[in-house]
Amino acid sequence: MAALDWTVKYTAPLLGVFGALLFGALRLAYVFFYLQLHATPQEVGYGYLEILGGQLPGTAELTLLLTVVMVVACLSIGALRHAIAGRWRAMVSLPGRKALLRLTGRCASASLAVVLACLPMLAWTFGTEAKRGYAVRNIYLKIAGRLPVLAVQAVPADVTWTKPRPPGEPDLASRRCLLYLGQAAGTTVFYDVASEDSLRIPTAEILLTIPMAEGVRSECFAAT
Amino acid sequence: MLFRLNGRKAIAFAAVPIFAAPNFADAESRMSAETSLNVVAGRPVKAASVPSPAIKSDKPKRHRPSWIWNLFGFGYVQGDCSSWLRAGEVAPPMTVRRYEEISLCFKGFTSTDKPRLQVFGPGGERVQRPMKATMAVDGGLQWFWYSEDAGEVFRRPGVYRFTVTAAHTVGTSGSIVVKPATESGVYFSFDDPIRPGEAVTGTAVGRKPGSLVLASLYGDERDGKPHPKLRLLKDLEPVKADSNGEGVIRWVATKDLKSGTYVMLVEPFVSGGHECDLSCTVFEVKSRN
Repeated sequence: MAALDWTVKYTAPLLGVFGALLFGALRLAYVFFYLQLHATPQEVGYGYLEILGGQLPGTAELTLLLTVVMVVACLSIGALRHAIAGRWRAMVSLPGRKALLRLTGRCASASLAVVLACLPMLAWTFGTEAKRGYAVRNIYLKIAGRLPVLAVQAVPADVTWTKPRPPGEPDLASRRCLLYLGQAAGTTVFYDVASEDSLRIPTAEILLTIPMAEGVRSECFAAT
Repeated sequence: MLFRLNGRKAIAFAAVPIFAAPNFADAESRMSAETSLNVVAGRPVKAASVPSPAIKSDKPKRHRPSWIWNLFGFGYVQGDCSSWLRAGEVAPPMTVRRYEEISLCFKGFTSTDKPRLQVFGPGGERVQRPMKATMAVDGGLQWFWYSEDAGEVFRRPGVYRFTVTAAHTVGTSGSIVVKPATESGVYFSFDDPIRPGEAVTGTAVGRKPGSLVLASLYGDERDGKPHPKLRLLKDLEPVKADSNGEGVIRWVATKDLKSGTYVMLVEPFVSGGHECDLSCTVFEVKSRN
């Protein structure tokens, strides 16, 4: 009963605070990505739940992978030091359970810090790629079984009005270098690679086609 | 059945050295190839126009793709449904280019409807037999043609009409306007492995009407032994691009051909830097000998 009380009293608020901190750190990556495309995460549909839901599994897997690598590296370095000192018995024996747990905890903390620090940098780099016209969507690490890294998207799109073009709205037929960023609250957001501006169009009034392409058309690259 | 290039990149990789030349390695050539490359789950399907060695380009040089793509990959949008058609409504006309992927997404059908889609060509002939839908990611139903499949079904520019009929819901109809391709590309079609009498077809699109489409056949042996560099076997008969900018190169395997790996190249040669598959295809020939 006391354990349950303790859980209700401390764990739930702590989880909330941890979630908020994690959201803040992860959101930074999204901000860095969409900043270059003149949009915000909220405008393209990435709110609290979307960011945590989309990004948390990948972040956890990356942290776990990095933790394992760091623990193995630390153990290897320790073994090497023992070998250099001629302590052969110590070289082949694992540290005690407590020491191993302590090492794992430290490595996990360091890994989380590294991942959270690197994600915004990676996001900025991928934002630059998207700005140049390359399709960026659900980035994954090529090694280690395609671990998801960043759940953002900026993909080439062809857009047409389904109704007569409303006055004041852009001529979508002439926009041939659009990247689709996402949609939220009835508005779809695009980035025009050629003119380097972003468009916000009512979702209900457009027909959106997303070709499976690595980037926008070649003439768009010539324009940049 | 269309040949998929999955699993063949190793062979394609081996085929590169014979084609590689310093002139192709300039940044602009590579970029124009890579940026217009359409890939379906790792399957390159479209090539871009790249200056031949003899042609100098006066366009400014572009940057190369960032190093970061060596470490990271991205998930292609595989027929995502970004816009939906409603069951029972007449769909607005949809315009596509030849060999572009086509995705039709519907909402409003019930689970017992078993809707079927049929497509009729510009002359009213049926070009797509009744076809089941697949479940779309966001719910609803989807009919999707990869670019090569779209090229096979929507064989020429024109207005294609489609109808969706369902058991318990009012059906839907609409039209797909297919226009000539604007970007240069080559699409290959054949059954793998090739046996004597069977053909390999390369359809070049996005060419200047009346221009010549050149193609060659390469083999992977030299003096009867496998060789890492391909050797030219023969230049295929050139064809003229039609009024839609398309030209079809067709090569039929002869009986005297030895079993082995062959490559068909449709000029101009386009390389993504590490593959020849932007303008050529690798296939096996199994002779009866």
